[in-house]
This record gives sequence, C-alpha cells and structure tokens, in this order.
Amino acid sequence: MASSDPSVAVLPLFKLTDVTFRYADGQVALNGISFAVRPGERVALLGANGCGKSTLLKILGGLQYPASGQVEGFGEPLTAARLDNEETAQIFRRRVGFVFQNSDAQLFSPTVADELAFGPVHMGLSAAEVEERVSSVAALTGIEHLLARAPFQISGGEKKRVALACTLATNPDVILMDEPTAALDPRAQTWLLDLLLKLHDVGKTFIIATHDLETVSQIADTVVVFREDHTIAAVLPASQLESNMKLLVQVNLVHDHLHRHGSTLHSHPHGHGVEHTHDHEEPPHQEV
Amino acid sequence: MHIPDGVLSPSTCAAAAAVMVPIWWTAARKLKTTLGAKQLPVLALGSAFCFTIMMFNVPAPGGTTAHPVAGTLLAILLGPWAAIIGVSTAIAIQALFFGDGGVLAYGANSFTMAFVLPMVGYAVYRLVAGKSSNASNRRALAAGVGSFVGINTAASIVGVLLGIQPLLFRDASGHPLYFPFGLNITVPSMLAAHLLLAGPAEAIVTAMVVRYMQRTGYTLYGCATEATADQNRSRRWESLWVGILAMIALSPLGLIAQGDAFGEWNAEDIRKVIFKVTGQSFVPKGMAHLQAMGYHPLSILQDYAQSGSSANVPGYIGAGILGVSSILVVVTILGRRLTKSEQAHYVHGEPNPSLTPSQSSGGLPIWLSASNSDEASHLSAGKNNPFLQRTLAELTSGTATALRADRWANQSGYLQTLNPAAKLAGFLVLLITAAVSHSLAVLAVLLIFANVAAYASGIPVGVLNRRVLLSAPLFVGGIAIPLMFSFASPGHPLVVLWHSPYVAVTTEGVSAFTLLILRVAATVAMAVLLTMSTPWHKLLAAMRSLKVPSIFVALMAMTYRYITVLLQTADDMFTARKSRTVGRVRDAEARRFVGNGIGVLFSKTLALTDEVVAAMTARGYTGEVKVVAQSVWQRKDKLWIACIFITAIALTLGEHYHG
Repeated sequence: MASSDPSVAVLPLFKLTDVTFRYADGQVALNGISFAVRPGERVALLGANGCGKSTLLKILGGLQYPASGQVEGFGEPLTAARLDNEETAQIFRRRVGFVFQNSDAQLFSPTVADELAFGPVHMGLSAAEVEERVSSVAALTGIEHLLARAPFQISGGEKKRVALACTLATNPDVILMDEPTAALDPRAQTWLLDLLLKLHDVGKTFIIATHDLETVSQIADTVVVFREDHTIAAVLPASQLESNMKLLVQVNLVHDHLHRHGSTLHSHPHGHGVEHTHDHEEPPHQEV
Repeated sequence: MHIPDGVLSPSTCAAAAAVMVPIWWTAARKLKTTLGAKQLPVLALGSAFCFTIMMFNVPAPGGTTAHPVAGTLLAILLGPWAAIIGVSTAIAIQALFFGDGGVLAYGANSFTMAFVLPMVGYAVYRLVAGKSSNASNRRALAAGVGSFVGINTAASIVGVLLGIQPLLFRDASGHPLYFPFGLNITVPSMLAAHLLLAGPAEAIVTAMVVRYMQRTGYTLYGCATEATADQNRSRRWESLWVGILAMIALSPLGLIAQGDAFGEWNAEDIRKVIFKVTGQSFVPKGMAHLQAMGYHPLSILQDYAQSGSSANVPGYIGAGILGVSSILVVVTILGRRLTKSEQAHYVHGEPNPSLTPSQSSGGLPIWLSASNSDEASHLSAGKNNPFLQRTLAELTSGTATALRADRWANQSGYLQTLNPAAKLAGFLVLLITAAVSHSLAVLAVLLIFANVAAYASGIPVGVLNRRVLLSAPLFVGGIAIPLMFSFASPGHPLVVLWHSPYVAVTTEGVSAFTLLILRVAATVAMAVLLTMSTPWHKLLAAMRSLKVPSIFVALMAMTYRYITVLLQTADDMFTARKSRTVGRVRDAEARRFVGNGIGVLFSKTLALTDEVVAAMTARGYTGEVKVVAQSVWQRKDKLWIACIFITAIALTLGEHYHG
C-alpha cells in the first residue's frame, strides 16, 4: 500500500491509472494513460493537435469520466457518482480551477464583475466577501478598469486575463489550463508567466495543456509527452526536453522539414514557434 | 410578424400574456426535468441561435427576401418546449433592444411566434415524419411541411388578433380605438404574405437545415435510439399535438363562423358587447347616428359571414382541405427536386481521379500560381445578391446596436442616476399610460416628457426620435395611411381626391391616423429611453429586484451574451461567403447557402454549449441561479416613482373626465 510506505512523503494530488476515453462516436481520445501529479508541481501536457490533451484536462477537472481506468483526485476516486453529489462536488470544484481555451465559452456573464463574482457566489460566500474577492483578484490581474464592461467589449488578451481572474477568484489549489498562451501577444505572455510563477511560489499546482515549445520549460517542471495514438510517449523533467528532439519528432510535434532556399535543398527538424535563421545566400531573383 | 405596442388593446395584451404564463411555466418545468443543470446554458445558446438566424435573409419569390422565424426548426432540433422558451427569449431581446415588437404586446407576440408556430409546426412534422428513421428524407420533407403550416397558422392568428380589435374596441363615434381593420382584411393579407413569400422560404430553409444536421449525424429531437420506450411516449405526444393543432385550427374558424353576428352588427349587439366588456349598458352615440344614416361600419364582413354561416361549413372545410393538399403536393415536388439537386451537387463534389491537378515545381498546383486579376476585375458580389447584402448589413447593424447599447447608459445624467428598478417600474407605468390613452393631448405630453428626460440625461433628442420613428411607423405607417381616407374613416371631407368613386381625406381619418401613430410612438419612446439610459446588466438587476423569476433573468443575460458571439460568427460566415462570391448567386444556391449556414451555426452552437456547460460546472454551478444582493432605493428614486404615478393617474383621469 502506497499510503503506508514511509518513503512516500507526499501523496499525489492526482493519480491516473490506465485511463482510456472514447468520444460518443467510439473514437479513442486517450489510451492507457498513467501518471501522477504531486502537490505544488507544475505539469505540462505536451502533444500535437488532437492527441487528447484537452480531454485529459476535462477528466482531471471532473467534467468527463473515463471509459476505463482509475482517476484519483485528492486521494478519492473521481467518479460521476461522487461529482453528482452536490456536497462532494462543491468541495472538489473549490479546489480545482479550470481556465478553458475558448474564453467566450468561459465568460458567460453580463459583465466582468459578474463573471468574477460567479464562482465565489456559487461557493456560498457572503456579499461582503464576494466584493472583497472581486476587487482583489481584479487588482492582481490588472483588470480593474474592465469591471463594468461586457465580455464582448474587451479584447482577446483581456478576455484571457478575465478568464484567469475568475478562476483564481475561488482560490483553487490546482489550476488546469488549456493552451493559456495561445491567444496572447508576447508582452501578455510574459505577464502571464510572471503571474504563474508568483502563484507557484504560494504552492499552487498547475496542469497545463500546451503545444507551445517556447514557453513549456518556463511553465512546467514536468512534461508529459503525448503520441498521436493518444498514449504517453514519455514523462520527463522539462529541462531534458531540449535535448530530446528525437522524441518530439517522433510524436509529430516538430518535423523534419524540407526547406528550399533558391537551389539549395536542406533538411532539419523545425519546431513550430521556435525561431530559427538560415545562413544560405539568397539566390538571384529569377524572371519568369 | 411582430406586433408593436399601441395597436392591440391592453386587454388583448393582458389576455395573451395570461395564456402564456402557464405555457412558460409548464415548459420551464418540463425542461428542468429533462435538461437538469444544463437547462440554463442549453436554452440560452438556443435562444441566441434563434435570435441570430432571425436576422438572416432568405431569398423569397419575386426578388424579395424574408426572415426565418425558426420556431419549428428549433422544435425539431431541441424539442417543442425548448422552442417555446428559446423563441420567447429571442423576441424579448428583440423588443427591448431593437424595438422589434412591443413590450406590452410581448405576450401576444410570444403566443403567435413562440407557441402557436413551433407547436403547430412540430405537430405537423411529427405527423408527416411518422416513424421514419432519423436520417430519412421524409423527415427533412416533414420539417419543411411543418414549418410551412406552422408559420402560416401563426400568421393567421396574428391576423385574427389584429382583426378582432375594431370589432371589440371602438370609441363613441364608432372609430376603432386600436387596430383599425377587420378580419376580412387582416387574415387574408397576413396569409397572402406568408403563403406566397415568407412561408416557402421558411419551409425550404428548415428542410435544408434538418438535412444538414442529419448528415452530421445529429439526433433530431424525439429520434432517440431507444426506440421502444420512446415510441410509446411519442404516440402519447402525438395525440396531444393533434389535439392542440385541432384547437388552434378551429379557433379562428369559430370566430369567422360567428361572423353573421359581427357582420350584421347593429346598435343592439354593440350594447351587448359593451355590456360584456365594460359592465355598462349604453349605445355609442356615433354608432346610433351612423346607423340612422344607413351606414354599417362592419358590413364588409358580410362576405365572410355568409361563407362562415352554417350552410357553408362543408364548403369551407372542403376549401381548406383542397388548400392544404395542394400545398402538400407543391412541397413534395419541391422536396423531390431539392433532393435531386443535392445529389447532383454531391456528384460534382466527389474528387475526380482523372482530373488530378498537375503540380508546379513549388508543390502548388499550376492554376494557383497563375493570376486571374483580368477576369475577376469586372465581377463583384455587389447589388445582385440582396440576400448577402441585406444579411450582412443587418448582422453588422445588429452587432453594432448590441455593442453600443451602453453608449449613453454610462454617461452622467438624470435618468442614469436613478435606481434601475425604480426606472424600469416608472417607464412601465408610462408605457401603459400611453397604451391605454386615446387623447392626442395625453400622448403629446408623454412624448414631450420623453424628449425632456432624454435631454436631461445627455441622450441626443434626435437619436431618440429617429429610433422611435424608425421602429414605430414601419408597421403602423402602412396600416395607418389608408385610415385617413373616406373608405376607411367616413366623415367630414378635408380634401376630396376623387369624386367617382368617392375618395377623400376626412377629418375623422386624420385624427384616427394621428392618434394611432402617436400612441405607437409614445410607447416605443418609453421602451427606447429605458434601454438607452440603462446599462444592460443593471436592467437585468432591476428585473430581478422587481421579482421577475431569476431563471428568466439569467436566461436573458446569457442569451444576450451569446448573441454577440453568434452574431460575430454569422457575420464571419457571410463575409467569407461574400469574399468568395463572383457574380450573381442564383436564389436556389443562396437558399442552400443560408440553409447550410444555419446548420453550421447550429453545430457550432452545440459545441459552444458543451464548453459553456463545462465552464459553468467547473465554477460550482449546479443548476441553481445565485446572485449578489441588490442595491437600495434612495429618496430620489422614491420621488421619481411617486411623480410618475401621480402623472400617470392625472393623465388617465383627466382624459376620462375630459373626453
């Protein structure tokens, strides 16, 4: 028994054992997934489009349930029966926050202030506490000037800030994020990474689905690499990712790219989003 | 099909609302059991979808375009109860933000468009579809037939609601108090427009959307795979629908069948009607006077009376059967043709192996690297494609209205400082005062008040009046203008236009015309001023504190939120279509595009719904709407509401005693 083993100092927050998930049409989204997340750990789920990262996040968030295999959250099994129970569900929802990829789906309230208040209100906080939460989380994320605005009156980057703020408003222990950097310009990306570091320092756990190779080593300690057949290729420390190009090619996240520069042909692994330069000489322009 | 305020009597509005309340209540209860915690997001997205496609333009015969109402479609996709709530919510937002349909007439508009239309449409769809499979062509055809019958039944009910106004509500001199024309005009004109123009467009689009959804593998409502349990239920449902359908179909028939009483309406009958309605016994002086002169104000109804009298009932029913069966034949042929052209389309769509494009050296097909600027330069997607242009223009202006709704609401001004609940209550009182008024002076006072209040709140008076003029008389202008002439309002000639046949503008006609226009303008002004001076979220809070059920307020809030998302999506779709349009688009092709476009939008709406459900669940939503406490009323607010009440009572009483 793991719990009686004195060598295990910290119980995992999440533990997945042989998890398989199928869509309604029978297509496999996750195939035999097993890994664990420790408290305070920052885990990146890395993989090509359609490998099952988002589905896995939803399973971890108790929004979908696997076809087979076990999922444990905070030492208890995450089953439909437990999360249909309003009391146990409230305890779980309080501890787990979810920043969705589509901010328009996440921001469903008439104003930003209503959006920030939604979680705290549904947790049963008093009016004064809700107000306190709203103003302090708005200050933390720099969106005080947006409080009275409607979600459709703010930009994509601002929406992302509001989405993060409304997730933080319930003060979750674990924050699940789906492609958080995808819609952000470089300056907003830096801001987000700084905020995530601050939150990590106070002990928050992060599980982040991403295909952004550039930021993955900054947002994660551990990287779970997915294959396109919906299985796990490797679980490794983020620091070892750079030296593992072969693995990334193998899971189709980067590919051996055929380049044509004038008459020179050359081939090299080419990560999407990774800037690279070529030192070939530009051939003279040809007239047709 | 939207009825504005001021053309139906307040009692008709109240009666329609009273009919709708138990319907809404039943629908909400049914949906709570079937949808559970998903109820709010599913209905909000469904309503937003409904609102968005009501802004689409579909090419209709004769070069015109029509707006789909989509009630039947929603019933087929999400179920009739969801359709009732979805269309009701969509028209509530149309009334509040776009001046489309009245606030007091909301119950009547809900009854026709959100109840009669989807229920009748769905019942006919179930009857025609029978037990056919989810993917069958018969089901798509049934959807077309259902929506055609649904929209025409709803249109004729609108005709009945309008047409009974002059029968029930006339002033002492015999002039109609509200809508001026009788059933003999309203029912045929509503039916003609919908049988010939809007109906066919609606039917084709509905059938196409259903076909599109069938191809995506979507399970239509009531087509669950658990056939046995469901069939029993559906049979029970079916009999219920047939019952409702029969009731609805018979109710206008009943009214017309009583036509001999209406048609030969004399002073004695008027006394009876007035006694029934008001409890007082008197004969309008004007009525008696007119009758003495040999004038029968309602004699035009006599034709109807004869055709509706007991002797002609079999003939009437026979004509009805003939009409319906000819419609069925036309739709069947249309459906066949549609199916064929769709199949032809598919054959063209299959990749032809013999035509594999030759590749240029860069990996691009050769045709892609050649310029075609010469051919394209003289072609454009210009005025030739009204459905694209109009839809885009309306989507853009709709988005703009939604986005800029708060422009004046966030300024500092008198109305903006009031508690929104006090403001909402006050404007509602003024709106009712305007709707029951028959005095030019009272209506003028109310319009002046609206202008002064706008001025004091930093809302440009010009903008207010333009909105009032644009939304009110489009509907009323067409009806009211004939009212000025002697054939509709006999009386003292003001200007004689023609001697034989005699046509003149009469004094009575001009005053009836002015009264109708002013009443509609005053009611619209109140609603417009309220929404222009109040941010949307505060209006929602005001509804909540005035004890509007919180689930309904939450539904309005989320619907409005996702209207902005779906309008943008639809705008993108039509812009993309326009950018790829070279030359004139044939009507059939345009309808196919709109049909498929609605299908695509619905699929996107479903996907978004799932995401919203997940996002709400993740933040602790379990199906119960919770809100933060509301703001309190200050002395200023109490003063405002007191003034409004006193003014309203003074105006109403003044009119009563003076007139």
